[in-house]
Amino acid sequence: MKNPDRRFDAYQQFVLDCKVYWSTQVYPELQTQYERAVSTAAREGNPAPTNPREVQQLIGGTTLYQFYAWYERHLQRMKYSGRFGLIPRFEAERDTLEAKLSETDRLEQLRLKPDMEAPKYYTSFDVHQHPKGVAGDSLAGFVYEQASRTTTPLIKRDRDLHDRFTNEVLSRANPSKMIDLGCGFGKSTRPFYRDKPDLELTAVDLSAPCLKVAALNAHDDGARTVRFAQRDAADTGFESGSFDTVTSTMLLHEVSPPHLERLVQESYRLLADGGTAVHLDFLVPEDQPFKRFIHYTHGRRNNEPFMEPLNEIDIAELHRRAGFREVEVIPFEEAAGTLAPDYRAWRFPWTMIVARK
Amino acid sequence: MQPLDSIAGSTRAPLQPEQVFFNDPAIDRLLGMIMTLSAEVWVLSDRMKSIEQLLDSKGVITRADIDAYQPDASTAQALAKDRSSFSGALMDHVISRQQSRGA
Repeated sequence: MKNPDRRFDAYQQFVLDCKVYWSTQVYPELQTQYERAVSTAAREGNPAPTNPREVQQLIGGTTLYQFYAWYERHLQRMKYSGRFGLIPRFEAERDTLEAKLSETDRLEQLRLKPDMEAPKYYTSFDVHQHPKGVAGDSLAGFVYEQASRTTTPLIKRDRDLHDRFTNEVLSRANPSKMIDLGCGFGKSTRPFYRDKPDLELTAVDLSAPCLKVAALNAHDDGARTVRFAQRDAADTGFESGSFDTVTSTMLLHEVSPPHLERLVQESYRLLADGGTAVHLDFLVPEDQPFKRFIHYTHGRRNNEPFMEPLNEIDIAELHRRAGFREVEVIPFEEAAGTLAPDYRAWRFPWTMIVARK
Repeated sequence: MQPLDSIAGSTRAPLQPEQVFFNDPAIDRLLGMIMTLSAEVWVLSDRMKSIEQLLDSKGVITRADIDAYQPDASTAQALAKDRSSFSGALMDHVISRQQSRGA
């Protein structure tokens, strides 16, 4: 941003501090209360919950859960909205930022489709509580880029998880021609072109405002082997078998179930024989009803309605039906120690789906 | 600054009404007010401390000075500690943490 605004910085830091408290104090306390409620129920001869609905019955009405839920929704709302939210902050510098975006007109790395019609699910609600969504305003890419810096407040450098995922993909698939689906403003794409400069890399997204930011960043980084294109990940239009690796990061939970099925089929079609698809997303095992309850309700609170359907389908089976011969579903450690049994703070249930054609 | 309604577009009605989490929706709204006030209090507090620091170091300040002010490492550390203490005091209410041992 061109003009400093200390009030904005102080406000955003305050909201973030509250989010950290929520993650490290409120969530563990809720889990403790749940465990106590389960013990009490057991003493009375009642079985422990086996699904999110039963967890809801047990703790959904408690005072602590109500506060927990309110803060999850409204701290995110506060980040975007209000006097010092991201939306008015970027709005105040619209002219400068629009001028910056217009520099993308001369970038050959970026191919937009101005007449492209986005799927209905994509535009019918404001995902992540981002007013107008991630494609509904020309500045949405800048806003999303800034907002994402505090999506995982406990990870000191939020790019760590992308670095870790990149290392996983590079070691598992050794890509030479790769497509990154749903690249957004390019945060997932960046470590690939940075760590493997000879990689022939294509990144696609529905959002033109996000792609513009991705292309500007790549240009500033001096990356020359990456191209960005406005395409639907479920129908990219690229030639069959033209990639050896397909990736996505936090995309699967953003698409509707019919779209997800087409996206998996498209991933298969795009891969050459022997190619690998690696998707990083959020899945909670069925035997963890409390965490499923927390995750499903997170989806509702954060305007991400497809979190729950993604968990309720058999994602491995969906890949096998599309033709993949080997499918692994692997918990992903987004930062050191987060998969340890004694890790109590709130976290996303990061999971990798690795499928081989 | 545009009001949020005009940014969001008045013809773009939300699919759902705002979510309610408490048994009485009044609590949802009151908590929203408390948080708005709390954030504002912090913004003011941060600004005042910034001004104090600037007065100390420069003697004369302008509005642009304040907006451009970035604390040095030790001031930033002190501010972070103060902010953490304030947000902790506020958020403690959520888990109903007692400040004294009950009789």
